[in-house]
Amino acid sequence: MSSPLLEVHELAKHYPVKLGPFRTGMLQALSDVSFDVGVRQTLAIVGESGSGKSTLARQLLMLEKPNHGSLHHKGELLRWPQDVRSMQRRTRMIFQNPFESLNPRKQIYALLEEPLINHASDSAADRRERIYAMLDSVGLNPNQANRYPHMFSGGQRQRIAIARALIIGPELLIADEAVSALDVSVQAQVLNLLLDLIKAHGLSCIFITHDISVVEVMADEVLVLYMGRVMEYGRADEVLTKPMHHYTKTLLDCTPRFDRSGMRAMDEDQLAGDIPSSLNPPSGCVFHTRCRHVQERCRVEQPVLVEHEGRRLACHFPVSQRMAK
Amino acid sequence: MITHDENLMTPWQQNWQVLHSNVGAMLGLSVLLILVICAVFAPVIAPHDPAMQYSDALLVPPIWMEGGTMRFFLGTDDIGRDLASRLIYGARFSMSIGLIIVIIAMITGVLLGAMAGMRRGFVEASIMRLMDIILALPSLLLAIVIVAILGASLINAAIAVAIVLLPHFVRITRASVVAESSRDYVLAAQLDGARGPRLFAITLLPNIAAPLIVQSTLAFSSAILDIAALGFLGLGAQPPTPEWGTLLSSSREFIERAPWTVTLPGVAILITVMASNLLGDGLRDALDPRLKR
Amino acid sequence: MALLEVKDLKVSFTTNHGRLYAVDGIDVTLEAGESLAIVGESGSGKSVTSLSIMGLIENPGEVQAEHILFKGQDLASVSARKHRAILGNELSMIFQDPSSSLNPCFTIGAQIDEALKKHTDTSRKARRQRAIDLLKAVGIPDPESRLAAWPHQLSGGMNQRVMIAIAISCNPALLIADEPTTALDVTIQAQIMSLLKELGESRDMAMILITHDLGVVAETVDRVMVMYAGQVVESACKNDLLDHPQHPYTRALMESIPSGRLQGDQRLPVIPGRVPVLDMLPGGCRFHPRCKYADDKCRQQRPELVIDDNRSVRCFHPLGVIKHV
Repeated sequence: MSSPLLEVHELAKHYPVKLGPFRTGMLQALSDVSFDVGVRQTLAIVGESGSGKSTLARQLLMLEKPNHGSLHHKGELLRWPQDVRSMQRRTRMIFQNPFESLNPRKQIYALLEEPLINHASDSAADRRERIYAMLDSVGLNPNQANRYPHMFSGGQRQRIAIARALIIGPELLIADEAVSALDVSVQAQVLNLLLDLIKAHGLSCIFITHDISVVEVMADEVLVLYMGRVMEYGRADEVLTKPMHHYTKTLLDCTPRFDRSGMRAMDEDQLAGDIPSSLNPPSGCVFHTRCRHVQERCRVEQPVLVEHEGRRLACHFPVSQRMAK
Repeated sequence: MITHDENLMTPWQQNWQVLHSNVGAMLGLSVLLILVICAVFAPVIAPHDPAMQYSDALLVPPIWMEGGTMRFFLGTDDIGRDLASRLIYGARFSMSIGLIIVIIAMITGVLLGAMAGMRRGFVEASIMRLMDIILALPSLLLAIVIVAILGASLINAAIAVAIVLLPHFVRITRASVVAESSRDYVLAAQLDGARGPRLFAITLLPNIAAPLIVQSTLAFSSAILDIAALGFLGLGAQPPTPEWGTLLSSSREFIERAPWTVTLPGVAILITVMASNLLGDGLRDALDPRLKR
Repeated sequence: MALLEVKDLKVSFTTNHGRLYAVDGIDVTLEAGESLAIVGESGSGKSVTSLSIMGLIENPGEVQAEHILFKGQDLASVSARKHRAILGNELSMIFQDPSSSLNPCFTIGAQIDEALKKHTDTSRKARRQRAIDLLKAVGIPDPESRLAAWPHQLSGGMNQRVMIAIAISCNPALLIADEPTTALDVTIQAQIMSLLKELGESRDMAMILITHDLGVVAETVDRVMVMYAGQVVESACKNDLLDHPQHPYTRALMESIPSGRLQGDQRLPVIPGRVPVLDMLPGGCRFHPRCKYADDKCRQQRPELVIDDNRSVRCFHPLGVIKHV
C-alpha cells in the first residue's frame, strides 16, 4: 500500500495581531489539522468564515511555514525552504475570484506562459504548442490567446485559470472556492470541465468550498473545519448522508435546496449567534457556543479527533442515528 | 452592462481613447510635440545661428513692437543675437535635460521603490527615511547645495534636480507595489515561480505604470522649472549656452529697457510647463482604474 | 388596490451602440404583505428593475413605463428625485454586501439615528430607544452596547442585520432586498432569510427579493418571477414554479444545481452557450440559442407573455402544461 500523495500531520498556524498600541493578540488560524489525500482522490474541505480554510490553502502551497506540524509528499517530509519550489510545481491553485486572479495587463498567452517559463524548460516553440493545446482542452479558442482577461466572461476566465493551473502538469490541484463567484449555470459548466480534466490527468484535488452541493458532486472525502479545527472527516457519501457532528448536520440542513423536500429547517436546527472571533476561541469544544445539544462537558473539555464508525470525529456527543431526520 | 466590441480594445487602447477625448491633454501633447520638433530640427528651423552676433542689431524689439523687423521677429539681445534662434536652440537643452532628469529619477526611483515595497523591513525603512529627508529639505535649496558641491554645470544641475525629484517616484512605486501585492494575480504569479526581479518587471510593473506615467509628466515640468531656476542663479548651464533659464539670468538687467529679452524666455518656460501639466492631468484621468469604462 | 403595480417597464441606456434595453417591458404586481422573488442570472436585468422601482436610475439610464403605481400614485412620469421623495418612508432597500453599505466612519448607533432623524420627528432619547428596539427586533444580542460599535467590529451577518434594522426603521410598506445573503456564510444566510420572512409577516411588509439562488427562494417567498435578458420568462406562485416549471430556462436552472453524486462518466446538466449581450440579442425568442426544445417558430417569432390562471410564461412550447378541460 503506497503512501498517499499528501499527508498533513497536526498542522497548526497562528498569527500575531495588533489589538492596540501595546497589546498583541494571537489569532489561532489552524490547530491540530491532520488529513491525507490519495492519488486520484478528491478531498473537499468545508468551512465558513473563520474556519481557517484560506490559511490551510496557504500552508498546503508552502507559502508560509507552519508553527507546528508537517507535510509529507508520498511519504517524504517536506522541508522548509528546500522543498518549496518543487512542491509549488506539483501543487497548483485555482482562485475564487476570476476577475482578480488574472493579471489585467497581460495577454492570456503570457499568463499561460509564465508557469512554463519558470517551472519547465521547454523551448519557445514547445511552449506555444502546450499553450494552444491547453486552451483547447479547457474549451477556449486558441486564437484568442492574444486577448486580455477583461475580454472574457467570468466563466471563461475561470477556464483560463484552470488552464494556467494545469499547464505544467501538476499532481495536486487546489480549488479555493473556484466556482462560488460564478452564476449557477456557469458553475455547472466549470465543474464539468474540472471533472473531465481531473479524470484525464489523473489528478488529486482539494476542493475548498462552503457549498455542500459542490461537495456532493466532486468529492470522495470531506473534511469539515470550524474555527481552525477538524470537526468531522470521512468519506463524502457517508458524511453527507449521515453526519455525526452537529455542525456538519447544521451545515447540511442550512444548505438551500429548491426542492421542498430538503427545505431548511427554520427554527429547530438553526445555529444561534455568530461565529466566534478567532482571537478568543471558546473553551472546551470550539463549537459549544452555538450547538443546540451542548452539555457541561462540552464547555470544559476539548474533544479529541477520534475514529468513530469509519470516520474521524471531534465531538463528545455525536448525532445518534435516532436523532437524524 | 457589457456590449460586444468595446471589450475588444487592449487596456492601452482604452486609455488612449479617453485621453484622446480630453481637449486640454491633446493640446498639451501637441505643444510638447512641436517643442520636440523644434529641439530636434533646430538647425533647420532656426533663422540664424544662435551664437552669431549682429553688431548692427543690438536690442532690436520683436516684430509686434515699434522698430521690430521680420529679420529678427522675436528681437535680439544686448549683443545682437537673434532671440528666436536662441529660444529654439534653447528648446534642445531644456527638453533634453528635462527628459534626462526624468529618466534618471524614474529609473532610480522605481528600483528603490520596488525594493522598498517588496522587501519590507529594514531595507524599506532605510530607503523611505532617506526619501523623507530629501523631501523635508526645500527642493531648490537642496539642488543648490548639491550643485555647489559638484560644481556648476548643466550636467551637475541635472543630477541635483534628479535627486530632488527622486522621492516622488519612490513613494508612488512603493505604495503601488504594496497595494498590488496583496491581490490574487500577484500571488498566482508567485506560485507560477516568479521571484523578485521577474515578479516585479513582468507582473507588477504594467499594473503600476499608470501613476508613474502621470508623475513623469509632472516631474518633467518640475525639472524644467528647477533647471531654469538653477540656470537663472548661474548654477546650471553657463552662458553662452542658450538654456532658457540662463537666458533669463543674463538678460536680467534689461528688464526695463528691453523686456522681451526676459519675458520671451519666461514665456517659453511657461508654455512648456503648462503643456506638460495639461498632459499630466489628462493622463491621470485616462489612467485612473476606478473610472471603469 | 395592489401596493405596487408596474406595467410595461423599460429601462434603457444610451451607449455608443445606440439605445440598449436592460429591462424590456416587464410587469410587476405586488399586494400588501406579499413577497416576490425576482430570479435571474447576470445580465437578466433584475437589479436594474429594482433600482428603477426605487427611483435610483438616472442619466444615462432612462426609465419608461405605462405606469408605476405605488399605493395608487403614478411614479412613471416624474423625475427620479421626485420619485424618491414621494416614496419617502414607504420603500426601503438592502444590498448585497453589508460591509460596503455601512459607512465605516460612523458607529452603528449614528447610522441608525441618521435614518430615524430623517424619517421621524422624535427626540434624541426616543430615537435611541427606538434604535435599541430595532436592533432587538433584528436579533442582535446586547443592543445597548452595539450602538457604540463600528461596522468593522461586527461580522457580515451582524452588519446585514443592522442594514435591515435601518431599512425597517421607518416602517416601510415595501422592502427590496438585492441579494441580501450572497456574501454571507451559509449558516448565517439561514438566519437572515428567516429574519426577513418573520419581519415581513409580523409587520405586514411586502418584500421583493432579488437573487440568483433558487434555493433561497424556496423558503421565503410567495411568488417567483424568472427573468432572462431583460424580460420575464415565467412567473408563478412559488410552489407551482418549483414543482412544475414551465419555461425551459427555469427548468434548466433548476437542473444545473448539483444535487447528488454523479456516477462514473455522468456530468452535470448545463445550459449551453451564454447569456446574450444586450447589443447582440438573438432574433425570435431570446433564449432559443440555448434551448433544447427550440424550433423554427422560436427562432423567428418573439413569444409573448401568456397569462393563464395566475401564472404566466413566455414560451411557444411551455413544458408540461396541463390543459384545463
